[in-house]
Amino acid sequence: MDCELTPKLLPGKILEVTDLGVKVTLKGRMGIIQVPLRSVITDKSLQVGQEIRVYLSYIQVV
Amino acid sequence: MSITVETAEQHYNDPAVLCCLRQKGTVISASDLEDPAIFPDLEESGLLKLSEDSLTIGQVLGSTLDQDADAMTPLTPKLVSHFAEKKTEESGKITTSLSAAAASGLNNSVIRFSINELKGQIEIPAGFDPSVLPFTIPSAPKLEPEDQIIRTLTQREFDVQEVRIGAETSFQDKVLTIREGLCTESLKADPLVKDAELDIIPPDQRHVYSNTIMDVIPIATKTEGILGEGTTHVMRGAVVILTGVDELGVQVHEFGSCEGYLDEKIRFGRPGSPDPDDIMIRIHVTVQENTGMERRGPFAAHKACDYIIQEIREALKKAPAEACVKEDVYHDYKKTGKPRVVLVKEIMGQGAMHDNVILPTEPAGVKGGRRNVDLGNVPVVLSPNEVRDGGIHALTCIGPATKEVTRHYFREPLVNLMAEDNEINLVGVIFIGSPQVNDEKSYVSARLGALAEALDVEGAIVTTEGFGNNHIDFAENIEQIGRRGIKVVGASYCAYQGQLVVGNKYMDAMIELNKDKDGFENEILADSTLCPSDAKRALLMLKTKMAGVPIEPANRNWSQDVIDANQQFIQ
Repeated sequence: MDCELTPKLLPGKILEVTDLGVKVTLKGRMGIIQVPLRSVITDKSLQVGQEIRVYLSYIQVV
Repeated sequence: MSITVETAEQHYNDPAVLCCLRQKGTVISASDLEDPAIFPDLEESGLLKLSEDSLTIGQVLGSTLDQDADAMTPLTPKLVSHFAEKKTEESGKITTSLSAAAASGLNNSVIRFSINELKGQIEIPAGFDPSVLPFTIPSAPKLEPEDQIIRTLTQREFDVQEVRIGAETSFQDKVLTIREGLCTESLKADPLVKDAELDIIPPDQRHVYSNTIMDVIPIATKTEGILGEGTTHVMRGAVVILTGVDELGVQVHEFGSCEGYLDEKIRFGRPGSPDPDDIMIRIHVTVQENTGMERRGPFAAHKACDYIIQEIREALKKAPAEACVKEDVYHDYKKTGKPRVVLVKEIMGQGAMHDNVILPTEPAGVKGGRRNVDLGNVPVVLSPNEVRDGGIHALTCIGPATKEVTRHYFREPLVNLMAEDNEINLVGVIFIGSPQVNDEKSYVSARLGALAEALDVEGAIVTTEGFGNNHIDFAENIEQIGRRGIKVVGASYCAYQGQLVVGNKYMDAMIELNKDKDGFENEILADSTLCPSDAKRALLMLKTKMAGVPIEPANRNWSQDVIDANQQFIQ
């Protein structure tokens, strides 16, 4: 199927911080993402409740 | 890429731009020109600059290129010769002034025709004033068939001023009492339900924390007849809200949960949400651990909730008719001679809470209904009265602001508006599920097209709750209807976050349901769902399209100004 997937700047919040990575929830309840710490760019030390922004689109199965 | 002759005709008055390198002496045809539909993209990326003296496609077809020119070059009078002059608007105007003959008093003269085959002659006075004809014209009887009533539904509303917990469930003198042990008993409804609690939230004490709102359910019951006809009793001033977690404390609808303070998490007064003065009866259900994201978990919570509501319904059945504060009578009509239209409501069908119970025994109930996922998500037709009588119990998809809860279907603004409109004949409301996988989506969409064809409708409005992969079905549903020559209007939340990922040429009349200023799914229950004002815009858009009036193309990006401007037409 020919879909036009354009990334949108979605805000979200940090739900959990571990020594390995962070878990974030996306605004609009579009899901929860868990990523390693090296995928996060920040000037502050990571804390639960901090607001984040991420470019995201849909997942297309290939 | 070059365009076809057909596309060139559609864009006759749009600027002409070369699609590829062309040499001096080329006689310009459609195959030398770029598609104007992509000009906004080209301009945005700096590849194209249109000037004021650009010629239109209509002007350049058949003209000759005077010098070699690159792709993306707008054609101007300097570059081509033998182009057509632009037609001024005046030349195409139709004048409505009196003809010279009429003005000079020729009305009373006679035009005479000789007829060879017949003997004699016919005289027709010029101007066709029937009063001077040598005979009288029998006046044709006016044939305006009356609307035929197919079925009638009476809804009696009963005020609720207080809700209490007590020893027996009863409803008397506007006071609803709910039996204390009812919640414990409701666990019998499904073994997955581990706990159920109930509390009362008066309108002035809404700043209370709540787990995610899974549904908003009206309290209504049949006292006579089946769903869609006979008599229904409805409570006014009290509504049930269902909330849920699993045994580990994980919110049911985790992805679409809207836990938080009730006064902040609900847009009160929307068709689906509690009204500003409603007493909320909160039923909180705990389901077995890790079943909140499976199909069986949320359904078990709805079953337990329905068990509790059923006992309240039994008390409401006994309410004396004379105690009702309002009586509404709804008809399903057969309107001969009016354009046949259909309303298509796309509902979620991906599984778990993305499911709906269709046609339960009691209004907005669970028991006796069939779920659209079990039915393979194929289109199912309900009469307008069946919808207004609680024919849909939503298990309620994720995305709080855009999901349609059970109360939304009970008070669906488009159903009411289209059913009561005197210019159209709403033949039915089609509910079609949105499956997960694309080939299943195509299968059900094709059945929708066949159904619309069999119903012989001239117009259709297609709506969808939520956003995401259901927009793929949304586009396909519109296409399947549109390609059969049926005029179709779409209504959905899209805005910024939910922009459509697919489209087709039949999606030229769309209604945006967004109410968030930044265009986000803002996690406030029912905020960006279909409201009466959206319904009016959608119906006017459909009537406009059916009348053959061209719809202006949409802006490239979501803009509230367009919605505000269109809103003025219905005020």
